[in-house]
Amino acid sequence: MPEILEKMGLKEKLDLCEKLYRETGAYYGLTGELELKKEDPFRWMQAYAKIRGALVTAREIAVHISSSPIVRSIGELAFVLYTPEGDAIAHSTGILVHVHTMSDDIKFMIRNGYEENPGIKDGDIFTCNDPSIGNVHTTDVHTLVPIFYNGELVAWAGGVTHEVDIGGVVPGHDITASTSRFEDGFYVTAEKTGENDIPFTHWRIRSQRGTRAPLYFDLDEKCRIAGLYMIKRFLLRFIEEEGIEFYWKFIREVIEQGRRDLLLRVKERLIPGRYRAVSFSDTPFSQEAWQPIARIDHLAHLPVEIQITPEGKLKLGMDGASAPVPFPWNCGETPMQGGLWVQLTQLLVHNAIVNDGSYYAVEYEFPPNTWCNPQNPQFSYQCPWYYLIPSFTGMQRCLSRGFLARGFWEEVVSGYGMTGDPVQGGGLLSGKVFGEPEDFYWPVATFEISCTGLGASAVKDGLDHGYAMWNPEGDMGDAEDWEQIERGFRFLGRRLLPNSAGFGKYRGGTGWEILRVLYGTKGGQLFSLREGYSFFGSGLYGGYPQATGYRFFIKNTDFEVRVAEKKPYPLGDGDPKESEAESLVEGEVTRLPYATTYPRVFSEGDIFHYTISGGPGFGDPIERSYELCEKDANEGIYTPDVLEKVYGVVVEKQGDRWVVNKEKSEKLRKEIREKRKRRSIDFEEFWKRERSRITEGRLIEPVKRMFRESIALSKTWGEEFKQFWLLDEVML
Amino acid sequence: MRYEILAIDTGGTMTDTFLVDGEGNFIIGKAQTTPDKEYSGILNSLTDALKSSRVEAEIGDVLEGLKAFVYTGTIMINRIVERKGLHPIGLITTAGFEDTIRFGRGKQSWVELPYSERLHAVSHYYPTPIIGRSYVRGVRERVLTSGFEMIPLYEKEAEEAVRYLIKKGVKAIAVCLLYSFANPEHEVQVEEIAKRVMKEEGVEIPIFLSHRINPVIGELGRLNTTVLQIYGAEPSREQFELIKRHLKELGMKAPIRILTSYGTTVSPSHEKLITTVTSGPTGGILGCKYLGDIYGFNYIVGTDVGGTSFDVGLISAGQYSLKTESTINRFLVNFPMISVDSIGAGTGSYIRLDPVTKRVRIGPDSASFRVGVSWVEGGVNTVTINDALVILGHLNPDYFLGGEVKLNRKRAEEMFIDQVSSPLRVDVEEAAEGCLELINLDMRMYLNAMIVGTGHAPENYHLVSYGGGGPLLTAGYTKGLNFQGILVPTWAAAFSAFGASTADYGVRHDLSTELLLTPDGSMDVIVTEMLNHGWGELKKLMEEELKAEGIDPESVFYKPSLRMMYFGMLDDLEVPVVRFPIREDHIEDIKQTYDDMFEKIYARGSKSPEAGYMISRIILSCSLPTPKPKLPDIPESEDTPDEKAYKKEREIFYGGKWHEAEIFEMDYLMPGNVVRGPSVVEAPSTTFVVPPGWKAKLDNHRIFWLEEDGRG
Repeated sequence: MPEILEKMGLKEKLDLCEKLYRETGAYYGLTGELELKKEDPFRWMQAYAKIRGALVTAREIAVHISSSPIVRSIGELAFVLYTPEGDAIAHSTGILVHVHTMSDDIKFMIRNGYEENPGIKDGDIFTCNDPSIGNVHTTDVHTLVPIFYNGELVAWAGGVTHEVDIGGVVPGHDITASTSRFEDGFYVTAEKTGENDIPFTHWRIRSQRGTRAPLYFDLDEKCRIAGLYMIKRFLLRFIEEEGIEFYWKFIREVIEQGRRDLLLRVKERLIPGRYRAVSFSDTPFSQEAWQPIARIDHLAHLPVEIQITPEGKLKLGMDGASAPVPFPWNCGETPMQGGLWVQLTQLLVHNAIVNDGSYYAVEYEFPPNTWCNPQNPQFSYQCPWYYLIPSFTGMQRCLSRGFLARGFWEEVVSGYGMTGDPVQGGGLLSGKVFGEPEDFYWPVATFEISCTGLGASAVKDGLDHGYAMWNPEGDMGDAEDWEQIERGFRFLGRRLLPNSAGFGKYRGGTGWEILRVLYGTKGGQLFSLREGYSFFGSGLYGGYPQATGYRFFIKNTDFEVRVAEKKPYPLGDGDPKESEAESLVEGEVTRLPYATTYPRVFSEGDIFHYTISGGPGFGDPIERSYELCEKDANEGIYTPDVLEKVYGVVVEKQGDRWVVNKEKSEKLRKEIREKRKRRSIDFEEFWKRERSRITEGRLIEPVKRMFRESIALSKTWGEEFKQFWLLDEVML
Repeated sequence: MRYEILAIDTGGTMTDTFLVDGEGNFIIGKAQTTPDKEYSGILNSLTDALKSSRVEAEIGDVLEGLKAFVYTGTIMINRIVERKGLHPIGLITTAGFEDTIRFGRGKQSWVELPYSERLHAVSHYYPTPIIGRSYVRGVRERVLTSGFEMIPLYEKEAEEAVRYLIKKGVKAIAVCLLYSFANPEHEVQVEEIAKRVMKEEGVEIPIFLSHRINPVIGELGRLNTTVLQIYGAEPSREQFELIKRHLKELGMKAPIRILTSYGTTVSPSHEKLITTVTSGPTGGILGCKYLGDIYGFNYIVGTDVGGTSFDVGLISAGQYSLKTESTINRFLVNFPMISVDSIGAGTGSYIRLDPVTKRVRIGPDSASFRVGVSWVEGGVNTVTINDALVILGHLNPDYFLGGEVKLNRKRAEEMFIDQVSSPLRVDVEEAAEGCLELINLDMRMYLNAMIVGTGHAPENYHLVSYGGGGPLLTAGYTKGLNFQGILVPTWAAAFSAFGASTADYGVRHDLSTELLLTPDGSMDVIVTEMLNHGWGELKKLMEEELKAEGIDPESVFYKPSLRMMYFGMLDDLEVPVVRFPIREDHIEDIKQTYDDMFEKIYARGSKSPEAGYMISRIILSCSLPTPKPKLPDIPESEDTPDEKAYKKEREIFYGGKWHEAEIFEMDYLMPGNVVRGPSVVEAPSTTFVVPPGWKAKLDNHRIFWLEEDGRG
């Protein structure tokens, strides 16, 4: 490193790094051929492989120390190595959204003068979980340690885990009942929490008193620290072996290479131009919320615009996004970048160098004072996923159109399911079950949500029950493992949910359903969240979105009586039109058209249902092959009435198999086509009809509010809206 | 001296033979595997071995004199991979859980994919299911984790399920109910009902209960294990019988023993034969353990380089470690296996350049037995590590598999230039060496990570290098890791078969449990009682099995152990227990052993005894010592090899330049001889590279000790 840099403080280095990028468009001003790489491409590749390998190893060892199934099985743990200025050099496996989120913690500390106060020295430990700085939500806890070589700060190592509880207004990791920061739970805003490699005693006391699951919090922190120290030891050895000069040059080249790789990939896979997509998300809280401020029904506007330049630069914008909300769904700018990152890694650079170079290769604009950049730390940020996840389906659809146009049909993904319905809550055991002590607390924090359906591609159906947008390594876990923790909440069934896969020539991956009963308990409280009123994706090229969620439970049931008499009891809901659950148990049925609820109290014998989403489809369903439709019928993906109505396919039972009646189906498909022709109208007519709904105000209040907000927050968006509908003024 | 032990390792491509007499003189043989008639591949391999025997021997005489015949190989896994197992199989499971097998926990869609593809979700897919949905029937019942019956078995539904499956024409029925390991009553009831119904219907269909095959928590792993037992293992019994019959006809009197994935051997009639499914890599680790016992090493790392993968297993404190979750052809299973982990890096690994980013990628797929572009007949068009080795002169193109396969160096060079070196703008040798270095680095990092992951350092370990490709790359993948010693056996190519021949007869049973040791010790009495009861039950089960196999239960050694963790954690460690029954005061020793193990593996600061400990499995193993091979023991002679060991010199590329290297024929090197790099030692089955700055001494057991010159 030039001598001048050595003498600089962190803040000066950060300023310089940003200045050089602004001036040259390249990381640290590294334009032209990368010297080290040119000199010895193999040493260069080996150096990257070494760093990457050390991070993966650290993660694989540390994961065993954690206590939470969310960390162990679902992969909610990751380690990243950063430059002194806070740019990611390389990352481990695990949840990728955090590669960039921790970067902003570091930059926050540098910009706020932490170098002077409280000081940054060898052996220090910093913790952050403040979503207005870097994290996605308070439940994601970051630990960061500076690494010093010969007295100089040469890197940061960061580790993150997702906690099962963070002391919010209600138990849980993604809660629904928070309206401001003061209900989000335990906050740590980039604090020094340890010195000389040991966490402060006061920190340990405070953090463990700050959550409902102190044991988990403690073990997860031990897990992060163990991994970080492995990385620290590795890096010091690496620098010894390769030399400090090589190290400085290499880390900058590797980030610049990451930036160039993304540009090259974009040029290879996409076509320059402007791509747009939109998603929506419903919050049905008029009957749910406790707090007056949140007692509304709300629809959020989640638009995405992507521009691809001929140089391969990708620009992402969310102009027109709705305003921040009095719900936990607000999302800081950094987690939005994290979401972008997750998508880029899966769609474009899964095979290349992945670091903050990708971040530099992309421009983004999350408009201030909207849900995706609220600029006010006092809002609630407890569950930003509620908007982040649906909004990024738009990005998948945009890029997929590019892939299709460029001929990369296999790479097309028409979207994904909401990783929704993470049931949360808990209760006390009654002692009725042998071997289970009375008053023992059973928490509910299932992460079966990591197995939704993936959207269809342009050549095949979407992956069934195995995908999460934030971590493609989905694992629903064994029921036997979950129930060992969630003791009082016993499984009655985990089954494929018919008609949950988005329709299409290629269907989306299917979703599934879970039915559980409270047994051996003194009751408990439960809540969950998922889209209900609105689809958040649309499918692609004639494909349909997946089925939305709903809330369904039965209280005061005759479950135990039926079991004692060996009468059939329900295993699921199945097709809600002919609900299996309602037909096989007596009780007070609640069936809501929405799925996001505040906590409710449940008692022994109550039955609770939740669903894991399917994925959207691709192409017109009436073009789906008979062979695939027959397979769908026999596997229970679709019920015969849906096959008939949507796919134009008539299936008949032969023995215990469904068989397509081709003749009847041909006829039916012809009729559907004719019916479509009859129903279709000129665009002008359609435009007029829709326009009248705006001019006459024939829109429901949540939609009116949504448009009002977007128009008020973005002049550009408002103008475009008015121009499109030829309106002088919008009165909604 | 008569040959006493015959060990066979049938790989996907080659069948290896290891035949050893009472003094440790051994011969090895190789022949092509014959999947349809396995015994003929075995006989061919044995014939090949006998060709190199210094004394003339007839197959019949050799077989007649054998004391032991040990099999390890791919019969069963091939049956599963090729989907040629027993079918259709019917499954009866807890109602509401009929889709468990289809779901594959989601994880089965990506579990064996390389990391870059795991990120690339659109490429995920599930393995073809073994049981289709229409062959699965649920019956209402529920047992809870403590074994408590929440819902009784609905007998009528069980009866209907059995009748339905009979009508479907199933050839076997698997029964897997939730938490049956905690309380098997419902599974047993289903079996009784099934037997009654079958009697009424006049049919006889075998029935398999998950709690008997694998009484372990995790319904998918237990279910898959049970299904694979029926699908892959049951029909393989017949194949083992066939091998036995043929060999018996030729005079063999010794029984067939099959290597298990946890390091013992069992007879083909063993109830849980599925535990022998992936025993190939186990053989290598047992071989390492055996060498360890002879040389007195307690810390050994075994490394096996094949055409496709690099397998690593560790022996620490004299013990190999077992893992409790694994996959078989992408199906998740949870029976114990010796921890042998692998990466897709072998001598046949493909080398590719990303067309856009120009980044070199090696593997994970490989040309396998088709070598690379240098073997024209192999039909490969993408360059491989083998091609790089030919270009660098490390592999002799005229002596691959003893000259049976001729390699074309010119073709390798041309294609390497075209595919790698020209786009990277470097010389072909530089590119070939760069690629070799990359694969060596991958292996080296993987090795280091495995060792560091157990809380040790390479300095504590001896490394053994084997497999057909091991000795070619040993120096490369061990460089800079400072092992205590690096051993390359002259029989590296058949080392796994050798290892299999060292295994004792024995079985192991795991039982999932949930026993809490509270910090105040208040549960110690109850836990002691429960543990003793558990071991007692497992012993009873074992005694029945031993008797069925004609072995006196009194003649075997029993070894109790358990798996435990700090309360709240999720991952357990296996803790050996000296003997059982234990007394209450032994609980402290058990905790102490666990604490020590934990501290070694993870950081000391991560220990968490504050909330107590949880015991998750009770385990009992038994073993019956069986005859083992002796290693050759030849007095060492002078360090200069005999004249006849020298072959024609050739140039090898190493460290950025060409070197004139001495070439040796392995068979003519004698104990005591020292080979100094740059040298290449050639044998028909393997090639051993000693780079410049390295030397290798052949010791009295015919094992090379490779080291960097000037070290030690």
